Amino acid sequence: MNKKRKLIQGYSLWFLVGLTILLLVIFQYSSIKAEKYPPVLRSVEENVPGLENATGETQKVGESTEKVNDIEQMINKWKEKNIRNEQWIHVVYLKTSDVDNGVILPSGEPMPLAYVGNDWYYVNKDGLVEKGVFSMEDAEGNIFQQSAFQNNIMINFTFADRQEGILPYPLSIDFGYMNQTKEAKNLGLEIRKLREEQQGKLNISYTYTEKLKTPTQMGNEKGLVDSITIKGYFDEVTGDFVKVKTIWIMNNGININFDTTEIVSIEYFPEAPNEILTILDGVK
Amino acid sequence: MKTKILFITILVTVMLAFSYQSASATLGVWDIWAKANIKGASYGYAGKMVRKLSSVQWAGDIISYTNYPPVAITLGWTYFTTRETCNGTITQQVIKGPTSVYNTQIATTTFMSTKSCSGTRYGYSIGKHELKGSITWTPEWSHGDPLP
Repeated sequence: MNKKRKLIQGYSLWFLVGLTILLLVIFQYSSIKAEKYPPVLRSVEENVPGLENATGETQKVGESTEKVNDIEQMINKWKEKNIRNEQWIHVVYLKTSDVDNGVILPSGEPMPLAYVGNDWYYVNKDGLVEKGVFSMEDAEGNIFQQSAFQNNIMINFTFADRQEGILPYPLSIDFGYMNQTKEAKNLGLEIRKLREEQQGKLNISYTYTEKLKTPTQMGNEKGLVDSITIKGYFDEVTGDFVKVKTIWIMNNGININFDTTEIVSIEYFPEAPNEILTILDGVK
Repeated sequence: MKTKILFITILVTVMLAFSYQSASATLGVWDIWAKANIKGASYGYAGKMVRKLSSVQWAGDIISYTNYPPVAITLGWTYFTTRETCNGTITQQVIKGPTSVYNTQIATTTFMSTKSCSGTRYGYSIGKHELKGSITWTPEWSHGDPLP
């Protein structure tokens, strides 16, 4: 009798396990298929300009791999020189663009197209940014937008915007250039290497271009973008990262500087200035 | 006893697996809000999404629609903003004005070229939907996702 009861109990438990899994699967699929992905939503997702190169012939993958390895080596060396864990990293850079960024400041003025980025990052023992103060300054040194990060809270003081739950993140002092070239290599895009002189200095540049399947209107630009070129520059002598450019090639053949970021200085300090710590105190 | 332990272990594992999936990043996934009985038995839906298209492009989407069953009503949004931030500062945005149609659905996409950023970069779809059936529903929220 006892043995029979145990057998029934065992079967009932397995039946319950099966039922739970079945219910969870049904719940998950029905919520995705019915609520999140009716055909009307899928039609929006299919609206993607895509990349012509990505679907085309793979171009010189071996050569691109070699160049991406060179880029990675130079960036890593440069990072070793400029970043220390448990230190404050002060990064100053110059941003320029020929495209309206669409940002209207609280003063009612449009955000400048060219400005200086003045950022202070505290990098923790794991190499992640744990806190920081980030400022945008105009040509006269006036701060027109500022934010700060601490205790997983990011506050934009200029626009009174507060975001919680932001985890510590890696500091990309190459402004994401290395990852972009890796993605380009994975897409089979050709990466070109050039030696060029700029402002009396010899630079090595690495360039790739993403050609869109159809010319597409992007951001606030009225014209149609045909391709996007990413170009990173390194000092030929020191191997230091100098700048990264995003250039739009319009369907009428004109090139537009969408985004250029040029490193002005990078330094590390055991302590941040008092004015930076005071701003951080405002993150609550 | 052993069976009970096995049952609990399987149950907990399955629950954890499912909760992990729903807590993972939402890039490329619609953030949908719903309202019952927008007109008759039909539901009204409002959706926003942020998608990364390549190493240099991303897109912000917005949609207003009805379903179960689809029914034509006046729907759209009063504004739609696609915004990119870097370390919390706004680096670029596109603001689109009001859009309204008498239909079962309307959607639009804003394509963005990514700005280079040294820290944490986010893309946002922000807007106020407007669905006018037997009742008027105007949900407004900001949907943001990290742009790696």
